[in-house]
Amino acid sequence: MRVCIPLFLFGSLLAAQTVEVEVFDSLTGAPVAGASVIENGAGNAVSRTDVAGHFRTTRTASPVISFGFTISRAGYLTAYPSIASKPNQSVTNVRIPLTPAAVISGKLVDEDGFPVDHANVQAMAYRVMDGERKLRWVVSAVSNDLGEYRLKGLSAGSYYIGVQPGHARNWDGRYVFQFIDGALQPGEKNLIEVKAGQERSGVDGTLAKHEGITVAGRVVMPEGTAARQMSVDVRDSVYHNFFSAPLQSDGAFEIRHLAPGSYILRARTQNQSGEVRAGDFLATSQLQVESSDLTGLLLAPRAVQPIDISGSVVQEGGGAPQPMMIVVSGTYGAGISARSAEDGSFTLKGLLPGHYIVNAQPDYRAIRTRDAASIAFPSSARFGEKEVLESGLEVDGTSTGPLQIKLKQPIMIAGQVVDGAGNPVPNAFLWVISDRGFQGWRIVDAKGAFQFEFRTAGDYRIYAAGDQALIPDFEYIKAHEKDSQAVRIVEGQNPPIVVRLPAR
Amino acid sequence: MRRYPCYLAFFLLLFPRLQAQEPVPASNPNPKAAIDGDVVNAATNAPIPGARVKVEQYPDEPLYTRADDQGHFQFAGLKPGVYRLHVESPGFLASDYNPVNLMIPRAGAALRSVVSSSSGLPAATAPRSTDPDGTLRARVTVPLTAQVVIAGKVTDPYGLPMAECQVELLAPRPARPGGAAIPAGPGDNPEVAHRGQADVDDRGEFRFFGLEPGKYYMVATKTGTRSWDADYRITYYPGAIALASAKPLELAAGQQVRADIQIVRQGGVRVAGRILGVRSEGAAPDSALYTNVMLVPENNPLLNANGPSASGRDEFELKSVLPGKYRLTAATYRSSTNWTGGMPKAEFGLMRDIEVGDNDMLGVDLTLQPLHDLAGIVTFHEGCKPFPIEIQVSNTGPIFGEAAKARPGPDGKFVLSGIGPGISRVNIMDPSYLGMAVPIESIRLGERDVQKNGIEVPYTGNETLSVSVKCNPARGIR
Repeated sequence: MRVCIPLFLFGSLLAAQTVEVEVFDSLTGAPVAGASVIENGAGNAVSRTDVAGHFRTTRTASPVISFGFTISRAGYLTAYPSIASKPNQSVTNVRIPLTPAAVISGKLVDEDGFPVDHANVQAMAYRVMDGERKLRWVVSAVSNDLGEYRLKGLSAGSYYIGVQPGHARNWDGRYVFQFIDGALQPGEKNLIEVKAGQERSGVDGTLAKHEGITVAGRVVMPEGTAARQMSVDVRDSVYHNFFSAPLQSDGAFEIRHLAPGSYILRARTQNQSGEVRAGDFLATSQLQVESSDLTGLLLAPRAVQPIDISGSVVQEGGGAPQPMMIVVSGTYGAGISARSAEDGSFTLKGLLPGHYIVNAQPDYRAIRTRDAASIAFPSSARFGEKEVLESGLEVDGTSTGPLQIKLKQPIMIAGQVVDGAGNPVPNAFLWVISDRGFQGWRIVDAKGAFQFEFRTAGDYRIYAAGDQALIPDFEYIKAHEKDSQAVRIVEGQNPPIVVRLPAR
Repeated sequence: MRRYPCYLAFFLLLFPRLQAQEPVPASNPNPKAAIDGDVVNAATNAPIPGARVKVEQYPDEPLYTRADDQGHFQFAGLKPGVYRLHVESPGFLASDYNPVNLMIPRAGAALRSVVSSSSGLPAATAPRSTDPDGTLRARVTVPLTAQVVIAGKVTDPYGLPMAECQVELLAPRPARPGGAAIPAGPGDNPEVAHRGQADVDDRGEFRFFGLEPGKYYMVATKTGTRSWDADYRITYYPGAIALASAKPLELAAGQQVRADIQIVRQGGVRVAGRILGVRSEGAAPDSALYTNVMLVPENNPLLNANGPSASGRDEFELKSVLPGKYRLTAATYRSSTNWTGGMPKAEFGLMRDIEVGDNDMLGVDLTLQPLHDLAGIVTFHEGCKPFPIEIQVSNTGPIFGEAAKARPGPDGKFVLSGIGPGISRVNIMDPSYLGMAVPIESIRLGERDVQKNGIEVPYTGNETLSVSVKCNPARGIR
């Protein structure tokens, strides 16, 4: 015993795990000095790469086989690599590429030739959100008093440049959300392409006034309540145009200069926050704005009451439903969550009207197995007749469900990593990505074999590396797409995947 | 209300002619109104050619025009009424929305033009007259003040552009109309107040514009989303680690300056100790509880506390703390895999003052206390009709989060939940009037006045909050 204890201490002192990394510019290959390196979860300690682009960090040896880092430097895209290691082993000679960021800059003036300040300029691209392909902002910047804007930190690609006209809009309500060429719709003239590290300056724009149409009507309050504390607003979900108007004493409202598009019109009790609260009055209505004025609209607000929504979890193919944690989160405030009971039933309590994102995750507290192949994920969520898993749940205070969540086992696929000659590569690393981002990583076994569970059918890319050297950095894999392998996963049986290592 | 006689005297001094009564045109039943105006540089009285001008009378569409080469503009054929006039020109601060009174005067009433300025900017002036054809005419002079611009670059100790950083602008506490500075609230710095912030771009560049002439301090701070190296310090222009040794920029109207900041690197000492009191005697360690420990420099003038912070279960260690006086705050949270949105609620807390010297301070044991809900009661002044109010308690830092809010029931009682440790400010709002502040007689926690000093959390369990509300004049106006 006496001998044992010091030995044990000695052993633990020795068993330190070191990670040594070189950070380099992915275009030039040159080392990147002075980059800040934050080791995630280690008190967020910051270190810096030296002139040779090196940094090293040491931690007590552990069976943890992944180190997460955040690596950033002005002018580069921030990288979030996970460096994988074998349990209790040090990792050296890891090379992490930083990709130079692209910049789009320019100057905005309005029809008077005045520089436009406080405009929110957005680099936009199509993304799949809520199950739909929508134009979304990727990077945004605010213009200064000279009308100058600078969209920094862009990854290579093509972006539509949209402008929320900021001060120009305060001056004249006809300056609505538009693209840099003054058009209301995305198009070739407002699509700007940048390469990695490229700076495109001189992307200037003259904002145009758009007369648009007028939406007018009246708010009719229930008997015995006054309209004076109400306000009316319209918003669109794509460009986040937002217009509001106070009510006149007779409940009339008028909102001018609406560009074509679809909007949600609301009358609600005014309050400081955007939140709708129990007891407030609320009326909402969908509005399709085309080329002619919409007048004579009537809004009849009702008092908002929280409702409960009940539901159930169903296992595809039958059987006892796996325990799930269901979280719905609204635009404002906290989400509401519920755990499913043994029979799969659950109740979400106290939902106020609004749009909620539905998130159902395996309830890991209640699931015994850790075998990825047997953990099921939701394939659909139906609220009444509507599929809401991706599009979200619209609570209007009338329908109370039920909300039915269907679970599906993942699609398990076996595979093997081979080298150029077709020989299996033991202990290789691989990363799986899709349009939705990073999907997971694996260390293949001594025979080069692996298994991976895909939650849905679709197109994926697999990137493999022969050693613990690289790097599930999304940007990097995107930029080196030719080195990754495309796979299409279908429902049911899939052939084994053979992943070829890229030549070094 | 108190300002009115004051400003009127000023007005009559400048325009004694207006004391004369204006003939009321009885002959023209439908008089028109017009505005003639000049836009001038407030400092030099030189005309500002090309300035743009807007008048509006809600709910009608605004009318627009541009000043000519002599800075002159005109609106004709207006219907009588009160208009809001707004003027702007690049390089100048935009004017206030000046009300211009072109109402038809009542028979026998003295004619008054209304001009006011709610900001510190020079007010527009608008004497008026009546044309022979009965047109009501206001002659407006709008002085614009040339803006102040501060631009610069933030670099790290190596001279590289500093990413993940913002620049905050501080200015001496603004004066009330009477001249005295607006007093500091609980947790505020008594000398200076936040005036703005700007992000740096990928070149480290920032630009503050649209500033009024005056005295400003500038400081490069963390953005709150990213850690800095432990020995990188929040740096005041031109290179100071404390407000006391910072150099203010004194800028006159129209001045545009460049002011660069290089982040100072300076080591500090270790402050470490045990975290106690977060579990009941003899109970098994609760691995889900973790405690955040933060130091806020005394009289912190910054928007975010930006002080050193650390997280731990049984122990904490702050690695590189500069000597000085701090307020130490600790809050214990329950980690949860079930994210349900919103801010987590602290379960235990502690607040105390600590002075850090030139040596490491190890063995700083923190005994946290359980945090509980705060019950209270609202009373209205005798003779006042009770009206709905909302009690909001928000932390002055470093633990920013959603304010704890409560609305009293019919019996005036309320319960506030989730107030984090630190000094919290109490605001009483009228929820029906877009959060208008309610006139308050007193707010007390037990016997202590917390309206001025704020609530120190944790408080003892048996104290209650009593709010005494005056009659609300706003309820009578609308």
